[in-house]
Amino acid sequence: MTFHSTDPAIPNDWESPALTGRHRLPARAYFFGYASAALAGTMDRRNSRGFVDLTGEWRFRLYDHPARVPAQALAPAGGDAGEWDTVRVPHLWQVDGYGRLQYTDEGFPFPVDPPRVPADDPTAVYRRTVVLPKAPAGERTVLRFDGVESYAEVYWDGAYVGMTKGSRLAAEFDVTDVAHPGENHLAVKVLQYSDGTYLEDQDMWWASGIFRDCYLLSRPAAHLADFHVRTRRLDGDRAELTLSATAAGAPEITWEVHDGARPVASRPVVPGTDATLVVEDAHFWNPEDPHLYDMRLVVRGPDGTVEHVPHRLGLAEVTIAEGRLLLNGAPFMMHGVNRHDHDDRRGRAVGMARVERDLLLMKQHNINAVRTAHYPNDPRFYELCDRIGLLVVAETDLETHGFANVGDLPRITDDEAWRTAFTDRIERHVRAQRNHASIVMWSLGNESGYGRNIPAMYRRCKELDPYRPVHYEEDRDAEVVDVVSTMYSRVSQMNDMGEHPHPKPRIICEYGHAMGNGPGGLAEYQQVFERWESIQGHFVWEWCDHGLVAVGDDGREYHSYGGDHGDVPNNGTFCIDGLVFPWQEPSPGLLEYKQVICPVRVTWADGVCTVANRRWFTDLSDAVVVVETLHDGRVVGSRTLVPGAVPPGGSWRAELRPDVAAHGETHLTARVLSTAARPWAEPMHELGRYQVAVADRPRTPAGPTAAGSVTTGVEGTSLVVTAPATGDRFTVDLLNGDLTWRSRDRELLAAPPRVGFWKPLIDNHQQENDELWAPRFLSLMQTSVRDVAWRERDGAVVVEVSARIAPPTLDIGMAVGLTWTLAADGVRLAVTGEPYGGYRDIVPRIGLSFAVPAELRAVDWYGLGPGENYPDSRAAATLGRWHSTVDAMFTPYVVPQDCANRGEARWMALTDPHGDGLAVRAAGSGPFAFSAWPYSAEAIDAARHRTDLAAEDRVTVNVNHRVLGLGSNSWGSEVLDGHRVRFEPFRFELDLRSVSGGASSYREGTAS
Amino acid sequence: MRIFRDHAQLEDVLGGAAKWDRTLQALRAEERLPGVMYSVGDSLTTMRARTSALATEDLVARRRYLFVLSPVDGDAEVDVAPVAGLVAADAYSDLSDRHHLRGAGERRTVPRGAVLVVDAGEAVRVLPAPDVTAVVAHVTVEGATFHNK
Repeated sequence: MTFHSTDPAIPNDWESPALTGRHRLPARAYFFGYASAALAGTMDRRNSRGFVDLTGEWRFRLYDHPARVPAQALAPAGGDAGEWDTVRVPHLWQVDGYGRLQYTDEGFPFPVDPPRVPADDPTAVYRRTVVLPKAPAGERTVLRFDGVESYAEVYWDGAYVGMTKGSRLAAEFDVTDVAHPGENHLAVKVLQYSDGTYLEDQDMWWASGIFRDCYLLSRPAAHLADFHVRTRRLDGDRAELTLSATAAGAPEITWEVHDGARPVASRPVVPGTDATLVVEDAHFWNPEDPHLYDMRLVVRGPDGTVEHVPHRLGLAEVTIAEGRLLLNGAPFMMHGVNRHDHDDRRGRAVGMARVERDLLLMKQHNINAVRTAHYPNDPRFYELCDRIGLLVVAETDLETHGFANVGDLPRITDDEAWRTAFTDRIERHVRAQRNHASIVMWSLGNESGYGRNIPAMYRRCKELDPYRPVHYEEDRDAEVVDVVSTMYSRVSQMNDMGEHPHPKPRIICEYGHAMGNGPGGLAEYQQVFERWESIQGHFVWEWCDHGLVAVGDDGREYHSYGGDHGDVPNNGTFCIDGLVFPWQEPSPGLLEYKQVICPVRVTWADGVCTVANRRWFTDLSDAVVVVETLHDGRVVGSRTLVPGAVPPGGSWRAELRPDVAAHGETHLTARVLSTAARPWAEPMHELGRYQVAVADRPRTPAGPTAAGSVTTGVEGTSLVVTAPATGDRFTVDLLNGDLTWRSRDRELLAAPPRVGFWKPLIDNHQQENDELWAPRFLSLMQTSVRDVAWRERDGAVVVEVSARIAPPTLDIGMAVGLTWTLAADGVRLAVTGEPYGGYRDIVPRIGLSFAVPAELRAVDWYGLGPGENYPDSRAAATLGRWHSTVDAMFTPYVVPQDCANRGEARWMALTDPHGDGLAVRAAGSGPFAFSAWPYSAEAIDAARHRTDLAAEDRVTVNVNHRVLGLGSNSWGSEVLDGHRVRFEPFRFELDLRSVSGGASSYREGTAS
Repeated sequence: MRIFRDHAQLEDVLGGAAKWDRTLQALRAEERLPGVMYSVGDSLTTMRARTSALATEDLVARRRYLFVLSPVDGDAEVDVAPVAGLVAADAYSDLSDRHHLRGAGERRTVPRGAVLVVDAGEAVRVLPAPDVTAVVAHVTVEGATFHNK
């Protein structure tokens, strides 16, 4: 049986949106039946009745047109077996090298002509054998697919079984009538594109195949057909459970609830009716304390067979009262992320081990909510969220974003002919997952415009689950949905909407676009979120970069993105926008997010330390606060505070009077630790850290240096300055002002210090570059030295350099003055800038760059650390004395870009393994920011992948007076005004010293 | 500061740019709840309110969003002044995009149906009387290339 039509009046099945499947069983809750209570207790579906795992090796062949699939390819013989490849299912065939990968954010990869898709639709056939035992009489055999993209026809022993669409929605087929004892032949024909593709334009790789698990299961003659259990919180910590269950072949079901080994309640249930149970002293589920009961439904057949269906039950009720979302009666805020399925070697065919690690990483970073952008996940994902404690905004498999490219985003969303296709997607999703405590609301999809099919989806959703709220961002004014939602609203816009709230609760379902280096500004967003109680959720876009492992000609691995696979059109690096690198390690952005959503706040003022509980459901019994006193960044004392059982929203105070340094800076750093052992963390896991400045007292004036005076001489066009006591020799080019510095028989500068305003472009500044910088050639600014003068003063030599730094073709620029004071104990540099011409807008930085020899790779500093930080992304950093290396500090963004910045530095030193090197100290203009790269700025800017960067024989050092904030304007918020650096007058001073024996010998602190 | 005599003139002068088309959409939306701030994409936030509720003691300047006001059922009165001639009452806030300032402003009447657009670099104070209904919008200063969610 084939449904490929050559008659234009008879549409193909894959181009018939009202046809969502053939012979597919009705959607039901995800559960398994076990033959015994003991087996049910394992909650391992591999032990369930008749479970046959169909993952693993399948024969595979890819055709370039559905009609090219010969009938024998689907028949038991299968044609010439030698012409078939072998693949491992689940997989995406393009990731395995068949066909072509393509990435677009929103544009469809083919002409927009719904419901038609390309006639030469790549079509794969999967084949395998299945050996089955003789099935007991009356038992039904069900074939299940948890995910096939995008259209699948199933054949059993050559006979057509059925068809399904909805790539990320489970599909079940009853194969009882075709299955037989012995060897069976299963074939699946999969089309890459179908009408469903128009509903699945979800900002990810275009790739297809059987990408989730598939398996067989058996249902005895008497079996549970479906169930829906929900919780209502009663007064006095009591919970009322309501069960609606349907069954086949049994007049009665036994419903049991256990709390561990303790029976809690049980009762018989008549299938087809609602039954209730009351749990006394209920232990309600919440993301901070995800307690689960064991629920069991037992179906006994007249033939003596028994089916045990286990379910982990969380007692969770979501309600809305007076415009606020409540979980079990308590308000809460979702600190969330948007998560796509992604594995850098398997694409969306992600294994559950990786999924679980994603979720554990979220918990480790204080995240309490996840939006399944933009489709349902593997059913086991929701079980993990129940168990680990994550609130889920459960989005169904829907996004029609590509219609925006033709100026008609709601084209099919507002088309009656597509209604079934839309409602089918919410129905199957809700039926499958509505028993999960973790699901806090349903989401109808993403970026599909607004039209008549949205209210239809909402109504169907409410019919199936009248209890949970429903979200859909494109219902902008919450005309029908229960939660009003926006995406990428700016900080002040969120403040506007919080200040004048909508009657319905509000979330921001996407913000903080985490593309490359960033996002910046999360702390300001968080302040607004926490200011207004109507704002109850925020979800950073997105969790993980979608880079796929690729191997270069030299055998080194890199991560690919749009355009790397010959795919045109593409959206390039727009899929590299996660808080987690493709290799599943946190980026600096995730560490920043962890801090701004830390559930315990610590402040200090006037000798009192206040510990505030920002959790919503649990107290601080597990929290301790280690408060360290730092004198000029060095820890000199520590005290541990134990706040005890501070209730949610409560706070605790303790007197804390630190030892204040007689000279220099005193800070308090508070580290909040949890003593609890969690599935995601060992005891003493750090939840966050805070710092407060206590005092900054004048330092002891520096004593006279014993270095003596320098001597001078002119050699040609160079000024040579020698410090007899140290042997240091400075040479100043009297034409271009360049400085060389020989110290300890080594040239300390591999490239002379130069003032600059450019740094390698980050993704989050691309729009600023497009609009402001590239048209003004800011990356190509030229330095023209107009005058170099020198004089001797107080045993030193003062060199004054006047230069103009300006881009080609334009009449804008900066008149810069550098004053070098070359003394026996080192160098002081004062820099001033005065802009000319008409440009006063933002620039990436104002600072100094130079290079040092490659062996100076050890980095010590007193400033913000330990990790990368920027003016608008520094919540996770504290002032301290830190040590790292040039290589370790270089953040391996998939697309190389500016990185490694450390702000608020009082001093920094780059040294070789002997401790010899160069130090920089802030002088009168206050702290500086610095970065030290193994590569030049030009090389970083030019690189498109990490493997484009080649080792260099020098270290590039940037010492910046000001650095522009990151923002998240790769899609969202520009840099906030308070973190902008403008092309305006400036002045800064630095001291440079040759050091020996490491930074410990360097004079500490800022100049007094 | 500009006062357009009606929506049509605003459309003639500024229409065609997404943010101003959305501003017109906001000004024409009559079904929205009063006192509730809505957004139209990320171009603007908008609210329908009485001028007595919009009134402030200080002049208020915004750096990233232009203040737009269009009276619905009567004439409104505002004071407008260049920021450069005013005294800061507090520090500019990135959280609210507001800078409260003190000083004298030029009294201007915004007729019913007209549209006031206060530019960055200017501060405005809505006066509580006459107490009329107005639609306000905070319209991004971001340019033509900003993403159009």
